[in-house]
Amino acid sequence: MYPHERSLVKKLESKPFALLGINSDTDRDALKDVLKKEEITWRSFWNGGSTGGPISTEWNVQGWPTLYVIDHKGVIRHKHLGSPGDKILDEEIEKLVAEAEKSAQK
Amino acid sequence: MLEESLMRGTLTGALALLVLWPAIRAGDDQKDKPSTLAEQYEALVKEYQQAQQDYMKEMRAAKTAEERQKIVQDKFPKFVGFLELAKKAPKDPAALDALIWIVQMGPTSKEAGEATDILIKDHIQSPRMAQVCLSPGIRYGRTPPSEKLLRAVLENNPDAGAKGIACYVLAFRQESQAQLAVSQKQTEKAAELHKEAVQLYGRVAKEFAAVKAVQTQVLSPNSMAPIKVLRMMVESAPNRELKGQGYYAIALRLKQDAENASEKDNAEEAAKLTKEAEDTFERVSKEFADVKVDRGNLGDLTKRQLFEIRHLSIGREAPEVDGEDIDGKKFKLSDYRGKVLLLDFWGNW
Repeated sequence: MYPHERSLVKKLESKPFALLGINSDTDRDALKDVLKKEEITWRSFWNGGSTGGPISTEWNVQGWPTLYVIDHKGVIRHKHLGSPGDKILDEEIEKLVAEAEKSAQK
Repeated sequence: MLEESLMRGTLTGALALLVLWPAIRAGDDQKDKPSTLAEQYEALVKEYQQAQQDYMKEMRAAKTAEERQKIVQDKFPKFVGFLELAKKAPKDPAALDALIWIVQMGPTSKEAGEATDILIKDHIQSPRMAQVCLSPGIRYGRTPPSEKLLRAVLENNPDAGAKGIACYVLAFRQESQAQLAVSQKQTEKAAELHKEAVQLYGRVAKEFAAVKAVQTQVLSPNSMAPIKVLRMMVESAPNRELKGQGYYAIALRLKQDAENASEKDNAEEAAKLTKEAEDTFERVSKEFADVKVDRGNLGDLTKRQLFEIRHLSIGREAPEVDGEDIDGKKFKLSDYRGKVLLLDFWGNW
């Protein structure tokens, strides 16, 4: 599972990009095993152990997964209920990474 | 013993017979009385539910894609028994149960086509057709049999509620198909489908606007109807609850349109629609907050929607997240300012 996430993190490891999860699993210890087994190297917030946890409630999450693409200034630029597909997601992210790099050069 | 009682004809004897009679009957049943169609249907349902449990257990235990594929092929619960039962006595109420089971639970099964044909031939006038049209398999389906069924209900069911619901569901499906065709660059097909959707939605708003069953579907918080139809129907809402839900649905649609405009970088349009959405949510909050819905009341729902518009929509600065990671270490979303972020609400389930 999670091959696209892994490849995205690897592809952009020297770029101004980070993948952050907000995880809704109920068993923290079991999750730690999953992270190791699936080589999930990116960081996740703990959502309090359920899909009704504080972070997902604050962000009004209606379905899982929900994805937010946020630019380098902290502005929300894309929102998806469910994955829109690897191609679309990659395009959105790469465009914003280019923006971030351009602004760093100024 | 029994015969002696009968011959003596005493009260005791008759009572003894009465007491023994159910036991005798039960004995007969267990031996050779065939079960009714209704009982056979119940047995099929139990069998199906057990098969479903077994199927899910095996899927969870499977480790490879090949294993999973084999399980789908061999262990997915079957519909053939239901179809055989229906064909035994197509007009029987138990047959209707079996046919509805197939089209609702197995809309893409190989039995669905034949089941649909029998439904259309022998049960199209049943009052249960409205509920069938609303079932997820039909509502969100794309199969030819499910389309056939909707058209047949719209054409031949005598109840305005069932007709109106079939019209509404068909309109939604054709519009969804039109959008799919657009994304696949099939412009002509998209135009045709969209044209039919508009026509069908028009019928909903004109022919079925006063039909309670249709109003209940269209004027709900998760309505599938386009804004034009919502606006037309909310005015003739029969009660305060449906009116409030109708305005909420309109506000949701405006919010969605605003987001779509944002995605297309159409900032002016997005701002205009966002303002309209906010104003409509505020109206709902003022006039209809107490109206009860699935998960609370319209007041609760609008509060969350307004928060989303003001803090979680495209173009707004993301709220801060102040929490801990899986190992318990504290960190914040703002720690990552300067980087592009993909924030993924996920779970390993």
